[in-house]
Amino acid sequence: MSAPRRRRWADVFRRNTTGQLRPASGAASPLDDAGLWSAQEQAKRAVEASGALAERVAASVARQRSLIERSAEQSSMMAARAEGVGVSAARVSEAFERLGVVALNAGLEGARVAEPQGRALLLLSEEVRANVTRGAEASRKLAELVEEIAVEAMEVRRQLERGRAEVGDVGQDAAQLRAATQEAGKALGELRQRLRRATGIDPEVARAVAVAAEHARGLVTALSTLSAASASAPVKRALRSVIAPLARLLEELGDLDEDEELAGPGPGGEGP
Amino acid sequence: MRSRGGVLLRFQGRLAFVPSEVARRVAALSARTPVMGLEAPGWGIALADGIVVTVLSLAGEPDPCPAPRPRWEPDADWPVPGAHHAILCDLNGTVVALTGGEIVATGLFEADEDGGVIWRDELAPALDVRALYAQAEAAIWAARATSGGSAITASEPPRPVAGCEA
Repeated sequence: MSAPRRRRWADVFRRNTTGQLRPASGAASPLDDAGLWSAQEQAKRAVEASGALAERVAASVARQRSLIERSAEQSSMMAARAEGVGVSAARVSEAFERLGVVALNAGLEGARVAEPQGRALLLLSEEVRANVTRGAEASRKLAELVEEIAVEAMEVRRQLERGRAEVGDVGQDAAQLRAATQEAGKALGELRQRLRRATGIDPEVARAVAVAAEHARGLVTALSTLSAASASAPVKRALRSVIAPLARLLEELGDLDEDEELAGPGPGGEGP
Repeated sequence: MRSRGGVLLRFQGRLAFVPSEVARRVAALSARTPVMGLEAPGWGIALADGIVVTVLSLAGEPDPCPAPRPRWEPDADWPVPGAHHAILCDLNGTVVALTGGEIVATGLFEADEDGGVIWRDELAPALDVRALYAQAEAAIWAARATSGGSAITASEPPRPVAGCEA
């Protein structure tokens, strides 16, 4: 880091620890720049998460679409099979119809033929007719049921078609979301470059300063509490041994700052 | 109890009985063809078991596509499959197909004094098929007499009723 920049950050750190977070003029402080960088980082992470989610949504939609297509195909096959069963049921009905005619004719013949053959024919006719009637009714119900199944299968297919269209729309939306997220990522990349040019700060340094400022704030608060509580001499001694290196470091930074102020900006120096 | 054999049928809401002396068998008709100039109950001709028969309809114009099975109604028996088919009647060598009714039963029934039968406490009068045939024949002669004896002609030859075979 160049000297003026270091001086600037030392100033930031000093003001932050003493509570002077913002310049009186209201212009953006270096701490604001650090906040900008932090916000940019957060936005970048959010956009990356959105991109990953959009990818997952798109994959899920593709799977759903495949499932719906398979289901629609199966419902079509079911309708076709129901139609086949309907044809078979019609054939069964036709067979019962012929058998019914046989039973009626057997009854008529039994009435014409003398006893005892006639009686036997009549009984046979009655029995066949009763069973044929029951069988025909059962086959009629079966045919109706199969027809209903075919109709319902077609309805399922229609609903699946609608579902497929809906899923297609969701897929398009997911693709658009993915594209928008990629655009946002690019825009954030550009924003990062512009921020670097505008603030003249390296993002890593900005992050370190933001962290140091945060810790310094905590340290000041804790020391203020100790000062108010009139801590005992052993406690102060113990703290001094820990804080002394920090104080020395701050002093060095302050000396450096004063030296540079006296020397003034060099020919190749950067402005604040 | 005296009994009579034959076919019991229902048409226009009432029962009728066709005795076994006239009724030969129940059969499906094919190639139903209306004949111009025939008056009710005569309707036309058809094929039954390979022979051409005269069709007499008890219910006016026969339904070209009769329902395979009549619908079931409350307090009624389940209709017998094939109940809508024609009854072939032998009138001294002339085979006539009787259509337009629903066959209720065939076999032996309790005889009534007037030649009919009793079916579940309901009287089924005997249907005089010979008289029906004679009525159809008389209507043809009557039509010829009114038209001065000229033959009844049609602009187009009659065609079988398309679509269904009873």
